[in-house]
Amino acid sequence: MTSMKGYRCWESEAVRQTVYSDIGALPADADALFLAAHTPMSLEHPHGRAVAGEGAGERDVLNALRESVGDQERNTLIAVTGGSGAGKSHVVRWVHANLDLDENRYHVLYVPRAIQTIRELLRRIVEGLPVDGGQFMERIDAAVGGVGKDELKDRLLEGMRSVLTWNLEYQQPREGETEAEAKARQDRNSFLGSRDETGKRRGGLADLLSLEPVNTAMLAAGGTIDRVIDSIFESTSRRDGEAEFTRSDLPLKKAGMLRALRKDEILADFWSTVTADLDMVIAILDEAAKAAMGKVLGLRTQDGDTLDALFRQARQALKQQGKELVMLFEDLAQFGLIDGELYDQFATQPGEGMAPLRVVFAVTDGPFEKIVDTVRTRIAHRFVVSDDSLADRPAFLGRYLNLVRLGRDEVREKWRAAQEDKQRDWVANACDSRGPGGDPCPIRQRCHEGFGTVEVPGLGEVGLYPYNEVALRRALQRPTIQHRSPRADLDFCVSDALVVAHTHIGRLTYPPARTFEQFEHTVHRQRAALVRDQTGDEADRLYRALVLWGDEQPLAPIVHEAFALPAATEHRNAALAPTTESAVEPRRRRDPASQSSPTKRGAKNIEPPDEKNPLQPLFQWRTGEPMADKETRHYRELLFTLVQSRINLDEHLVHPRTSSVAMDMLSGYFKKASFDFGADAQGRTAGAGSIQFRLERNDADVELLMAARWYYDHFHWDPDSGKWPWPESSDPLDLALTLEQKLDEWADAVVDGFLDWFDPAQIAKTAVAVRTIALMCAGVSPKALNTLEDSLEPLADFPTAPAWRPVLDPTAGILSNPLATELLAEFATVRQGEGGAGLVDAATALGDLPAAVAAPVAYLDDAAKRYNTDIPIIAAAAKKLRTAVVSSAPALLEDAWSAKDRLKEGLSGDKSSVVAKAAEAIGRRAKEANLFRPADGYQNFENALKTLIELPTTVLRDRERNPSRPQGDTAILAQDWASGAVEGDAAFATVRRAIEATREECRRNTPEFAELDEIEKRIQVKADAIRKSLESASGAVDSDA
Amino acid sequence: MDYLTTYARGAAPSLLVISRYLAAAGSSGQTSEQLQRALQPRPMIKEVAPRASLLGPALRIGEHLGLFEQDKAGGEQSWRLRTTAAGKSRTSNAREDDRAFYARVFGALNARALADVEANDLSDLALGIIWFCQRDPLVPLNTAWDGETETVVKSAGIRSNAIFNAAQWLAFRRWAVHLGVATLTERNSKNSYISADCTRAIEPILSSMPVRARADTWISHLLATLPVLGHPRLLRVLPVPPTEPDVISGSLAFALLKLERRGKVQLVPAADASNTMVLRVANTITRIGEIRVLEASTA
Repeated sequence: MTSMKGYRCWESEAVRQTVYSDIGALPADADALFLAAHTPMSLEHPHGRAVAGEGAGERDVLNALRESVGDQERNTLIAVTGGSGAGKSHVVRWVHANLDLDENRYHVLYVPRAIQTIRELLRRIVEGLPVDGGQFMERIDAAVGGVGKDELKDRLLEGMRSVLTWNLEYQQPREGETEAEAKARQDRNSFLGSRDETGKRRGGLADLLSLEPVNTAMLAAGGTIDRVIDSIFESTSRRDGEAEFTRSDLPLKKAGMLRALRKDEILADFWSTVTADLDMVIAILDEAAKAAMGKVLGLRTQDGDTLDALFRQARQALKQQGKELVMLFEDLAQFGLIDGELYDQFATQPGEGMAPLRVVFAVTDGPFEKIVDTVRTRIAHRFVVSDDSLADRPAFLGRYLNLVRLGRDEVREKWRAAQEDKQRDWVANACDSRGPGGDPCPIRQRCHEGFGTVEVPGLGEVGLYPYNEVALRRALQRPTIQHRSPRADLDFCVSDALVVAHTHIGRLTYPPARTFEQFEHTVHRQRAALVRDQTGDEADRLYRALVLWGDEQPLAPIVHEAFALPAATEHRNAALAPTTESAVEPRRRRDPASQSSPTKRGAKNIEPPDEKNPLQPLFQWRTGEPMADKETRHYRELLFTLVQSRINLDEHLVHPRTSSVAMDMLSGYFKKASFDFGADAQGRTAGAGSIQFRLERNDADVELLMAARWYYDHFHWDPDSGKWPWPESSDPLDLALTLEQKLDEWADAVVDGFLDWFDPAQIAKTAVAVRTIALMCAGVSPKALNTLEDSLEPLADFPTAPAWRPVLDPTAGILSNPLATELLAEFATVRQGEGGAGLVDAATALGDLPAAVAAPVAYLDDAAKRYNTDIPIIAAAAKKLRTAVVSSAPALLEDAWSAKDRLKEGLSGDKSSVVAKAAEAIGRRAKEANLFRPADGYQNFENALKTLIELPTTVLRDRERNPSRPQGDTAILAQDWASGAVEGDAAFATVRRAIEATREECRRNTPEFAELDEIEKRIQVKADAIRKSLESASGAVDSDA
Repeated sequence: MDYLTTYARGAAPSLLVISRYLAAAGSSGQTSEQLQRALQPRPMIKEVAPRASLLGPALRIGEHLGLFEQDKAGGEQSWRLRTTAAGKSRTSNAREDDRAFYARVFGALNARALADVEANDLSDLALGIIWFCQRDPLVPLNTAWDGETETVVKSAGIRSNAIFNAAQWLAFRRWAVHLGVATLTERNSKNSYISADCTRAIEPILSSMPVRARADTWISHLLATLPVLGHPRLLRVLPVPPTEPDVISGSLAFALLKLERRGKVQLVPAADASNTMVLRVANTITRIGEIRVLEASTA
């Protein structure tokens, strides 16, 4: 038995030699190939009198042509229309191949699409006419010969300007035109500009075309004018619309345009109307180009032959010969810019001196609609070739599969023999005749059974190899196609695919990844279910074949054989099935004793799932397709939700709640966009500062996503209780392990990353430390800050040293802000339920206090930098306080040290309270004697005394200055005495001034008061004397008693 | 000891905070009032009696677990750490530090369990965990008490002596997750589920497990260390004990398979039936003959 391994029944070269999807590329003498490949079509006949035997496809066109023969009164125009690639030209070619008119009565002018240049087209027409057109062609050659391309382009553009300026007529109102039509007509006319007294149009498109940026854009390489001029000389594959202007021909977004328009206000206004109605403008430019092209090519001249004249001469000559002129055009769009000359002929009816025209032309739907009314209204028949005209695509393609198997030479040979023998069915079926000695192919039966066949009229059963029915369907339904047509199908399914198949089948690498991408490759099953436990290139190839040739079902053995595919592995369900005869006990198996799944939530009847399997887009994504936006969003959402629910930050004393700092941090770090489905996925992935989890197109991640989706939708692992079908060939335990393992891994990564990135404990420490520094700035001694409660207590009194006032504002800002307690609550507490903090991690929260007390300015600096991004409110507060401290510290320290020194000196070693009380006594007596001065200053005096009385003794304690310590630190640490010193100094000064003023007052009012000390002594002496006399008197009394 | 009723407000993170503070305080004990002032500063936490707050129950639980002790000698009672390791300061890896602490708490709970059961004084929490760890990990329970969950608990026969209302169920869930014997997954408040999964509880002790041993030996060693995961003596206290005592099922079986996926252990298939240990999860059984530790946590 002949093996099919690597078998190919065609050659790549044969594909190139026999398959011409574009009839324009088929050599004119290739009728054998054309007819061998021809598949009868079904055509619509929407316009024209019914023809004999209507419904015979392309033969209807031939019959319509034949039936018109002999009518000397009118021309006959037959249009074959349809979409691009539908086979219109093919119909015209077939009509030509089957046209068996009497040469004595008809002259046939056939213009195939194979003609690629306008010059060649003209030559073909001129030579096809029964007149001498040599002079005409010489003039054409002279017009374009010896002239550079750029000059020709410029000539065309200037010709267009000339036409726009002088020749294009204003459209006149039509009877019965609608309002919209009237407006369109008026707009068109206004675009042409207004005529001056000489008749020259100004302020219209002609002027615009002379504006430098417009002129340059119109002549740009690759533009329409450039392509049109190219088409005069070069063999280009011309298609519909190539000779029509587009928006890109105008400088709509060119930088220099506005600058150029500034110089001409009228044109500037005009340009704004142009840009508002580009479709109209483009239509006018197309019209102008057509009119100008005749001049550029020399088609129209005042003297000498024109194309019109040649046609007339030909028709006159044919009339005299009693012949009709039959013209067959495979593609009228070829004429593009010169179709006017042709249309003139179509519209010129025969008469006494002119032979009638019988014209069959193919034209695509768009250009057909643009054919001038004078021609369109004269069309006798219109046949439409739709994309469904070759509805039986397998048969259509089967004919080509047969053709490539036969090869060009054999087809030609058979054709020649058939011509001689007058055979009708001359094309052989390669499957039936390519064996030794013309026998059937030796593997025909196995091939046909395994790969299938298609019935082709006239040929019989044609093998689909290397396709089978599934593969051919998937090739026809390929996703890459933009416009489905017989030509496109032929290009892909035969011209391209057979060459690829030939190469790769020979190398035993078929089907390659490219084929998978090109064919329709919708999948409905998990890849792993088809090729579980197989990896590598061969597994990939097997998978591709299982999808493309098997619709994800097992392949016929001969497919494996032909493509040398590895055997498909039995999937896991088989491995899990109870085994009783296996010599080796599998490690894992289903428990045979378990009749019902313990994963079920309770005994119940198994109901079929309500919803369809939602995993198909996932399986498709696995094959390389982008995931639909909606699907990507859903998977991100569910993964995010599942992982988030597993992030147990409260065991680390962190509590992200809605609208909290911790929540902001966590949501910035871990988000839905953290799940990265690749560059082709919807939305942006999380950026720097966020954690990312990459999902790859591999079996493991597909299984993970499958598991996540199932669990998210069901929250159980019971295959029999799903809303949608359990993923085939998947084991509940495996899916659960896969998901649980990954959720743990991701949640751990989020927690680790979050804790590392944000260091919540440090946030708590910083919050407490910054508040503690603020308390120190407010005069609280570090020694009084022993517990967390000390650091969190509110403070009402603030120091009043003038130099320190700038510091008080940021200090008060920090102390009045609940931020510290809020951050502590979020980052270092135990919470339960929805309640607030229950316990504070004081050991952690106080961790930075030593450093903050030792070097507060540096600590503030560090806090400002560290939290500049994450907690800007902390950073700003720390920075503001630091700045104020650093700027205020020198003056504060100077004031404080000076005050302390003065005070100490003034007190002369006494306690401030003692001095104050003495002064108080003097002041009180002086006040009673109305001698206190200043007279209205007693209240201030009392206040000052109070300050001195309450002044802590520590204020006046001896201190060592430490010049190496930052002044800011010194100033903060000095707050427990500095403000006191300044206040005490001020109070002492107030008291001293009052005492001195009072003394002066006493001196003025009491001469004896000149010497206060003397008076005091005298008073003291007198007092002592009084006391003694009283004591003696008392003693006498006692004695008496 | 009724963790889930009288001391329902006690929780593992509270033990962490207290331990950490007592460790920082050094050898000097802390009175309840001192602890309250330190750990429940008035500017943040409304002052209530320690017993009514999180502090009191946590101190009692910590005492029961042997983490803290009261110094009753010499006037005012004060608390101090019984083991310094319980409150050791943070290292560079905060998460590992915290997890290690919870592992020690779980270890302490296990250390008491066997003794308590002999004394017929098994804690409600230990009983709840023994029951929960035997559950099928593929059948999670709704975190809401009402309805199915209540029925499941009731049918397990532990409603009367472990978990009998929503508050206890809440306290139990909290402990189960913190001690590493349960995982939570939720879609929203109505779709929130708790699964039996003791992977986190086992992972920290892998370093103390035999690197390579017969499966039955290895598991015996494991259950001697963490008996609440399925020690036969403890399983017998369940009102509805497992029907197949020789089969490792539920959370422990699932955790071993998960640890194998994670590359922490290798479950080597049995060479012959005599040395086989059976792991059952749902309707799937896995026969193993040997367990090897491939990678142990350093925590």
